[in-house]
Parts: sequence; structure tokens; C-alpha cells
Amino acid sequence: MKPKAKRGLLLAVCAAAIVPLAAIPLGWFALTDAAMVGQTRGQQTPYTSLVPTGDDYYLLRQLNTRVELARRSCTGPMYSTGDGVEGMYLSGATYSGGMTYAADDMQQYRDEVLQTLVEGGVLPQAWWDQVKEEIDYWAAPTYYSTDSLGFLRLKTYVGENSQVCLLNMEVDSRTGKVVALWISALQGHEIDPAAALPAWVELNELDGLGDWTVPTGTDYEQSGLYSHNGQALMTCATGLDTYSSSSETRQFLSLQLGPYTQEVDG
Amino acid sequence: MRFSEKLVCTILLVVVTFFALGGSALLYGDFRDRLSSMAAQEQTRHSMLCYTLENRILTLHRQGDPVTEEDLQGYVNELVTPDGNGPAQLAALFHTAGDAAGEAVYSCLPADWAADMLPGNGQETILRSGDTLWRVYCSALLDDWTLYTAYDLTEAFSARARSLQRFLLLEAAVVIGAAAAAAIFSRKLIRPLALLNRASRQIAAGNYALRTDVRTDDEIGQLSESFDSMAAAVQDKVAALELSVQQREDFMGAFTHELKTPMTGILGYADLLRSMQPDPQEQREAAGAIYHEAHRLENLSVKLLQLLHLDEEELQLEPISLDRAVTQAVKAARPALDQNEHARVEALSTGLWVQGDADLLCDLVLNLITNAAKAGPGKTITVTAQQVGRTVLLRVRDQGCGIPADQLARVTEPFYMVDKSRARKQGGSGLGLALCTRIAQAHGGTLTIESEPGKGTAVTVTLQAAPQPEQGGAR
Repeated sequence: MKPKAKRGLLLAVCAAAIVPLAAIPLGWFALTDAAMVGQTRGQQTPYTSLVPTGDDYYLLRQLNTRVELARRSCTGPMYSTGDGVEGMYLSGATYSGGMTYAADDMQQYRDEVLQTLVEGGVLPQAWWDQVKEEIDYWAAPTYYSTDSLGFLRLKTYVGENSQVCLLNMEVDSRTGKVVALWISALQGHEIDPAAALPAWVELNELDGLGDWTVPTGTDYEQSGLYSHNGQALMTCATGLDTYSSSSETRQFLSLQLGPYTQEVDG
Repeated sequence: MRFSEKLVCTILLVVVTFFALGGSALLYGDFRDRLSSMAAQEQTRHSMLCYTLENRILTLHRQGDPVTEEDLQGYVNELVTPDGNGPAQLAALFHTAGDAAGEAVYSCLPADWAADMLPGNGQETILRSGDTLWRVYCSALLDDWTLYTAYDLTEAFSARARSLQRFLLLEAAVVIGAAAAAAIFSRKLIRPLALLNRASRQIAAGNYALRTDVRTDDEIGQLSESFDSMAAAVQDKVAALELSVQQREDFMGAFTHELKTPMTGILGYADLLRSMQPDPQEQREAAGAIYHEAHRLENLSVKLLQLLHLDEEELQLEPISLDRAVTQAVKAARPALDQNEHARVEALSTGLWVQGDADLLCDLVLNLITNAAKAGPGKTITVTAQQVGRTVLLRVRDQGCGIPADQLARVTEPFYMVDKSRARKQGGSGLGLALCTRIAQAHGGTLTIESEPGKGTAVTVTLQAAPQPEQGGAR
């Protein structure tokens, strides 16, 4: 190769090398962009979700308030607050003599609420069928009462002298959520608390508390769910009915939602 | 390719590489900072949206109202598009029921984003939709709600593109500037090299006196200095060679002449004897002349052989008694002294010893005495010796005609004779002092001549002093 041609070739090679070197930033950003797009990484300051308490849920706040007001007005309906303003809490009657006889629409309401529990997976269909059978057989009367916070109590009695309380249900009248249920039946049926209680939590829209757990190490280990955030306890129990004054042997089912108890929290 | 062009190319490649890498790092750092700053703002907006939404959910719970999808859908839409002029940010609200996969309750995210492309809880990712890049955040809320928000990153990327464009223009300017500066710098840098190149060519062409004289305090200055030293050495060597050649030519000319002169006489007298019938007296004169010239030729050949011998072999020096060498020389010079009107030699006994070769030292003194006798026939020749330190000065002084000052430097050249006709008449060959000089040099000494025309000449030879050896080892 002639020296002049070789010189020209080398100069061309030099120029050809300078161009890609000068374009390093373009390649750099192309590579970093390719590596950046689609790559998942942790947020620098991830959002911390709010931790709700029992007072953030209407149902639990009502229950807490009822316990608090019932404690203050244990000697009568009137009570005094710390700054001297007086309040009043009227509890509802719990025995048929003090309750109001329920008309058909009230009984229909009762059935719809129970049906909701059945469809929500809380109440086993077998229990509900047996309750319906006895109600139909005895044409059982139903009574109701309300307290000043709006909790509605419905009680149904069966037997020749209506001596057996077949059903005792407590419902928040504003939301229609069941806070307590008692059923007495001639024949008991199995119920799985591990399935029924979470279903009841969801049905009552309390799952937002997010920390419903089995209260290990307590009496409710097999039959309860506990929320530390909500300071609430849900129980589900079955057994021999020793409360009804009936000559027959009966079984009971009990569902209960209540405020926090120190025993469980400890 | 010229060296200056190689230099320019190399400088350009280095400058462009480091400038591009440095610029890339700088731009990338700025871009990252901008993205981080935007991320902080985006996360604040995302967190505010999450907080507002959770508060809404809790408010519904507090009121005992159901949390419905329609309610939250409208609420999110209101938050995302507060002025109704299109989304300031993109958002999607998902709700998971139990273990089931999340279902979008509200979404204004681009349709080409698949669910598996979206980040998980507490994560973020950058996704492309068309020409727009979005950063998507995800956070899990109360009641199994999940909120995604996406923020447009177009401004960050547009700003980076503008910065990159400015940088590339700056880079082009830097490349051009660097090329010009490197060209000027390299030309200035290699100018001394070009000078050295031209000088070497001219020196090769015979201009040995040329020097570069680059006065810089660097390697090129040192190279120039070395080059000039080399040129000076070459010049000296060439001068020495030229002198040697000249001396050889002079020697050959003188040698030829010295051969031709006696041969002419010999041939002339021989031709006379061959072609004519000379009388006995003339025959004797012719035969005497032939003998005389032949004797000169013999002396000439002997001294030439001695000179050659001195050049070929290295002497083995030994302690020599200077007195003994002088005595032998005087004895050998007796015929020559007698021929020159019975010139007389005064040789003082010194008891000095020198390192030397006995025969050569004798020849040295003999030649000097013979020359002195020829220079001052019938006069006294003084031979003295003196030790100065480790050197012995042997001096032969005559009272002859002396040597003109302008010829003193040449009298040691072979065949050089101050008065040729007188020298030849006296049987001189012009090799005596040359031989003495070589003998002195072979002994590690020097020969110097001091002379004053009409008053005489003093020849001084320096020799190495030697300690007097024990009895039996001396010559």
C-alpha cells in the first residue's frame, strides 16, 4: 500500500473511531433506559396504611358505647359525665313480659336476617331449618325490644306454655348487622367456628381491622376470633341447653360479638 | 502518517473518550437526581391519595355505611381529575376478595399495560405507553383495596434530551478545538525533531560543522545536545581520518621520493660504469656513491621496519638503568660522532632507573645523539637526566644550527627534513625523530623539542621512573 493511501486510511480509521466515542452518551442512556423500564424496585418511602381502631367501625363503637353507658347507669337510666352533664341510657327489655309482640313484618325481618346469616356462611343451614320447623310447628310468637342506642332484640318462644326460648337475636337497627344470636334446638348440628367466624366478620364489614386472629392460650382458643386493633371478640359456641326450662333435651348455638376483654388481651 | 498526525489523532481519541465518559456520568447523575426529586414528589402525591382514600373508607365505616365500589370509583376519579380537564395523574383501584385476583374498580391506566407488569405493594416501576414513560406506584389499602398511581416522566426525559443535545454540540466544539490545539501543539513539539532530521541529512551530505542548538530543558533538548555531541565527534573523527589520509599520502610521497633519490644516484652511477670506460679514480667515486646511496636505503629500510614493529607489538617494559642505556648508545654512536668532526658527548651519571625496553631506549638515545652530532659537527653534546616525581626527564642538548620555529612541529613527521640536501649528504633518512617519538610513546612518554636557530636544540623525553632492582635482576 502506498504511504499516501495508508495515511488516508489511518486518518479515516481515526475519524471513524472518534464518532462512536463521541456518541457514548447516547449509548449510555439507551442502555440505562432499557435497564430502567420495566424494572420493579422498592419505593423510597412506601406508604404506611392507616391502622383502624374499634371506634372507626360504627358497629363496634355502638357496642363499646353500650357497655360504657350500661356501666355508668347501673343504678338507673340517668348518669353523670365528668363535667356534670347528665345523660340517659335506656336498656331494652330482655324478657317477654316487658317486650312487644312482633307483628308479621317483624317476623319476616327476623327471617331475612337469619337467611342472610345462612347465605353468608355464618349460620349452618341445618340449624336454620330446624328453627323454622319448630317456629312453624308451634306458630311461635315473637317479641321485640330496643334500647336507646338502637339495638333491636328479637325473641321467639316455643312450647305449650312458650316456656322455651327458641331464638334470641340482637341486631343493630341502623345497619341490620347481627351482634348476638342464640338458638335452642331439639337436635344440635355441627358448626365450624374457623369458617363461621371469619364469615361473620366479613358480613359485619369488620375485616378492615385486618388483625382478626385466634386468641391462643385463652378459653376462646377453639371458639373465638380476636382483634387487637378493634379491641373486639367474636365467639361461636354450641352445647347442651341447660338454660331452657324444658323437659326435653335441647342443644344450643350461640354467636356473640362484644368489646375487648382484658382476659383475652392479656 | 506523520508523527504530528499520529499525535493529533491520539490526543483527539483520548479527549473524546474522557469527555464523552465524563459528560455521560455527569448527565446521568443529573438525570438520576431529577428522577429522585420527582419520585419524592410523586410519592408524596401517591401517599396523599392513599391517605385520602383510606380516610374515606374509614369514614364510611364510622358512619356505618357500606363501602361500595361505586362510591370509591367516583371518589378516586374526582381526586385524579380535580378540574375535569383530563387526568393530572393516572390511577387504578383494585379490590381483592379473599384469595381471588384483584379486580379493577376504577382504572385510567393505559390499556396496553398487563396486570403482571404492574408493581407489587410498596414497589414502583417505570412503564412505557406509546412515547410516554410513566412511573407507577402501588400501595395496599384497608379492606383489601389496592391503589396504583402513575406519573408522567416526559418532562424529565425531555430535559435530559435537551441537555444531551447541548452536550453533543459542546462535544463537537471541543473536538474541533482540541484538534486545532493539538495540531498547533504537535507542530511546535516536533519542530526540533524536524530540525534534527534536516541536520542529520545535511551532516550525512558532508556538512559536519552543522549543529542543531535546540535549547530546551526537556528530552528533546537533551537529544539535541547528544546529537550535537555526536556531530562534533563525527566531525573530529572525519578530520582525524582526513589528517590520517593526508599523512599517509604525505608519507607515501616522501617515501617514494626518498626511495627515488638514492635510486636515481645508484642508477646514474651504475649506468656510468656500464656504458662508459671511466678511469679508476672515477670508478672508485662511482662505486663509493653507489655504496653510500645503498647504505642510505638500508638505513631507511631498517628504520621503517622498526617503526612498523613498534606499531604491531606491545612492549614488555622492565626496569632499565638509564646510565647503561646512554653508555651503550654513546658507544654505538662513536662512528657517527667521528664522521661529524669528532663531536663530543658529555653524559653525566645519574643512577636513575626507568621502565623501558633496553634495546629501544638505546636506539632512542643513539638517534638523538646522531642527530645532535649531525646538527653540530665537532661540538659538544650534553646528555642529562632528572627525576621529577614518578617521571624521568631525559634531555639531549646540542649546540648545532637549531631548527626554525615554524618547522618545529613537523620535524617528527616521517621523512621530514629541515635541510634535505645536508641531511642526505649526511646519510639521513628523515625517520630518526619520528622513530624516537614512537619509541617515547611506546614507553608511555612524550618527546618535546626546544630549539633556537644558531644556538642549538634540546630534545626532552619523558619516561616512567622505576625503582632500582636488587642485584641480578637489572639490565
